Amino acid sequence: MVMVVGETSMELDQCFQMTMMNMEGVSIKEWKDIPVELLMRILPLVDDRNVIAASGVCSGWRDAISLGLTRLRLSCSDLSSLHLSKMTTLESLKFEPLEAFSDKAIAYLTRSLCVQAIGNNCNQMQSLNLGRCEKISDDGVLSLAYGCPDLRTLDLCGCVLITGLYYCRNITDRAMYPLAQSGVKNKPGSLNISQCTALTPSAVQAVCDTFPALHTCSGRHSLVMSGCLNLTSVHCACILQAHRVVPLCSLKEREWVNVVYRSIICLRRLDAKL
Amino acid sequence: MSKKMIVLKSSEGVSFVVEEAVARQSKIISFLVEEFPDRELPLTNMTSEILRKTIEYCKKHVVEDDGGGDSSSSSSGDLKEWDVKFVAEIDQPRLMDLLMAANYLDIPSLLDVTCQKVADTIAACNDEKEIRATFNIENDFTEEEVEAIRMENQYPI
Repeated sequence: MVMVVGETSMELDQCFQMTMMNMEGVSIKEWKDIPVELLMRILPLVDDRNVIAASGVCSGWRDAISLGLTRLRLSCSDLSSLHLSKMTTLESLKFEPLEAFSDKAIAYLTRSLCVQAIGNNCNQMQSLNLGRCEKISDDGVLSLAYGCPDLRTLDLCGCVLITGLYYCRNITDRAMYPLAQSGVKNKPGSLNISQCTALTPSAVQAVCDTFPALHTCSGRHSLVMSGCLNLTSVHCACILQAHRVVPLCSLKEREWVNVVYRSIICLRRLDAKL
Repeated sequence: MSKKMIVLKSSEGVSFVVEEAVARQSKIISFLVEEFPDRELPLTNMTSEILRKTIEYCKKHVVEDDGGGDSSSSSSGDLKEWDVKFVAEIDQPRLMDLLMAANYLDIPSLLDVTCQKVADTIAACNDEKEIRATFNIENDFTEEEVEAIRMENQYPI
C-alpha cells in the first residue's frame, strides 16, 4: 500500500491532526500531566481516602480533581487533608452515617465552619447530605444558602441544632421529607423556615405532623414561617386535638410511635401524589 | 475468504499489517477506515512498542469476541484472566503510554483495564507521598501553598 500524495492524503493528515489536537496526543509521558478526563475515569474506581490522597500529590492532580470532581461521598475518617474550598465544580457531597467517623472527623464535620467553607466556594453544589451531623447549626445552613445558590437537595435529617432556614428559597420539599423522617430520637423543638418560599404546605405539614413540638398556633410559634404565604394551611397538632394539648415532655414512647406511624402514613400519601 | 488488512504505521515509521476486524476495535481507526479506505494510517504519536502491545490486546479480544457459542461464559472468564495478566506485565512508564494510546485510539475495553490498573496502584498507596514515589511525580507545591492548605484546614475548636 502506498501513500498517495494528493488531496485525499492531505485530508487524512488533517483528520489526524485534528484528532491528535483533540486528544492531546500520546506525547504526554509523565503521570503529573495525566489529562483530567482520565484522572476522573480512574478516581471513581478508588475509595474516597485515595481521592483525598491523590488531591495532595501535585498541583496538576489537585487542579484536575478540583475542576473535575462533581460527586464525592465521604466515609473516611480523616477530613483534615480534604480541600473542599478548591472544588468549585462539586455538585453533590454526601457524608456517610456518623458511625463511620472517628471522633476527630466528627470534630471537623460537625463544626459549622466546615459547612461555611463549603458554602463559600462550591457554588455548583446541588445536593448535600448532612444527615446526623448534629452540631451543624444555622450559621452553616445560612452560608450554604448564600454560597450554594443551586442547592436543590439538602438532607438535614437529625441536625437538631438547626432552627433557621431563612432565605433558602431554593431549598425545596425534598429537604423537608428527610427532616420529617428523621424519627423519634431527635425532636426539633423549633424550626424556622421563614422565607423558604419553595416549600409546599404538604411537605411542611409532614414535618409538623412528625414533630408535635412544632406549633403554629397563636402564642406558640415554634414553627416560624413568616414570608411563606403559601404555607398558611399548615397547622400543628393542636388543631386536631383542640381539647387535649399534650406537653411534649409527657409523651410516652408508645405515643411517639403512634405519632410517627401517623406521619409515615401521611408521607406515603404525599409520596404517592408526587 | 481473504480478510481485509489495514496498515498502521508507528512513530518510528514501522508498519504493522493487521486484520481490519482487529484494528476496528479502535473507534478512531474504525472511523478512519470508513472515511479513508485503503490508506496506510500514520499513528505518529505512538511508538512501535506501544502499538505492538495495543495490537496484541486487540487481536486477543477480536479472537475471543468471534469465538462465541457454548463456551462463551468460560471464554469471557479466560479473557478477564488474560487481561489481568496483560496489564500486570506492564511497568509504570509503559502503563502511562498504553493508557494514553487506549484513550487516543478510543478502545473502551483497553481503557477500562488500564484505568483499573492505575486505580489499583493508587489504592495500594497509603498516602500522597507513596503515590508520588510510585508514579514518579515531583511534589511541586510551594511552601506558601502547603501553608495555605494547612491554614485552610484549621478549624477552630
